[in-house]
Amino acid sequence: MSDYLWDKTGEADPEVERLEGLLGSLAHKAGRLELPPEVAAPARAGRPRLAWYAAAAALLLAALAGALVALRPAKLHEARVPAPQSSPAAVPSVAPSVTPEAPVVKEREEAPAVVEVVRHAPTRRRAPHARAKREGLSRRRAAPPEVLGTPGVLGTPEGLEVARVEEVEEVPRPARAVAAALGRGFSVRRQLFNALLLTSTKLKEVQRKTQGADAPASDERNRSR
Amino acid sequence: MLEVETTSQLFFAEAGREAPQADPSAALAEAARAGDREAFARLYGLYAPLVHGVLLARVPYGEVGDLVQDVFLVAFRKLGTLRDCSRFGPWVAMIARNRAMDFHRRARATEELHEEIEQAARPSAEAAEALEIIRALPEAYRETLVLRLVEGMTGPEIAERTGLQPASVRVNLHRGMKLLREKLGTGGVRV
Repeated sequence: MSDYLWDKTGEADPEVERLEGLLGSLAHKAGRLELPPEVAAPARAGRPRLAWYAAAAALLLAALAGALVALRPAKLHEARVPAPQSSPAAVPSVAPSVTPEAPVVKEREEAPAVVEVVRHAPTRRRAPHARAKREGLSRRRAAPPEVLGTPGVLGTPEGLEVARVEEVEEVPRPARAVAAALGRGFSVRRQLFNALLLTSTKLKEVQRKTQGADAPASDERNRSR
Repeated sequence: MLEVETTSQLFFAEAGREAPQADPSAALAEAARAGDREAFARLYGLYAPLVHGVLLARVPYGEVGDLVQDVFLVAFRKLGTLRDCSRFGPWVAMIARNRAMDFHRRARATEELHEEIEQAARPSAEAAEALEIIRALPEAYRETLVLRLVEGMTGPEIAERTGLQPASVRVNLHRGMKLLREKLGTGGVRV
């Protein structure tokens, strides 16, 4: 069906034709668009999500770098410490992973003497010489194991592990040598677990700092000192 | 009670819709978005009547010419925000409608200037009177009627350029024309 008003086909409507003739004088006159030369070319709209991706990538990289830095001293200590004089058999194979961070060695009075190596959470770091001094003192002090083994005293419960080493006379004097000796038996799986633990700790610290609440983190650090 | 047919009401009632054809303006919009000024000039040639009609249905005739230039200037600057290049027509029509609303918001401050411009570019009395009657119609009708009777576009062209459903445009054209005939008959205007 033809419809002149719709598509200008078929029989013309006289009234529509009259209106077209009358109002056609108001139609747009063809001309060129005058774009000022200073008008810059249109720019594509940016993607705001890219900023989030970049921030997440930066956070991940920072966490990885923190984990690497935290793991590096372990290898340095291992390289520096001389080989232990004790036989490898003296070190039990079931000993858990030990990082050189602040192992505290103390003797038990019962025979044979047992050394408890108490490890802290890997986030806490101390200067090697100060730590050795403190470890020596703690060994001489021979504090009761219950005190050092209490989780609330030295740190978080998950950061404490105890390993028993027999034959205390053969253990090298610096306690880090013991840690290095124990560290040889570490499995890669354990190290990976520690790295993941470190990463999560660092991430939490970064999150706290970004939220402007870094005071609890510094308090915790002071408490551990 | 005047019944205005909206696009949403007719969206599902459209049975005989034509198959969509390849739109050459999409390629032009894509090129213009990449910075091709010549492509944008061709887009202007294609869509200037649409923008002119949309503005003419809302603002005085003497203002329309400058506002058309403004609308295309804004469109060129914001072309990067256009996601679908095949929707350039509806997009630029929306810019024109927004520009007309801005014009009315600022109209109070420049009222005297408008009068001077209108005197300089005044259409014939009969045409101006007919245009005023059309502009008194509901919005859905007046824009379609201006595009059809003033700019000379057909119904399918109006649907394609504005992005409306052809059935909606057809209904609006017929109902608007019926109302216009009544107004012209009762108002005593003989055109």
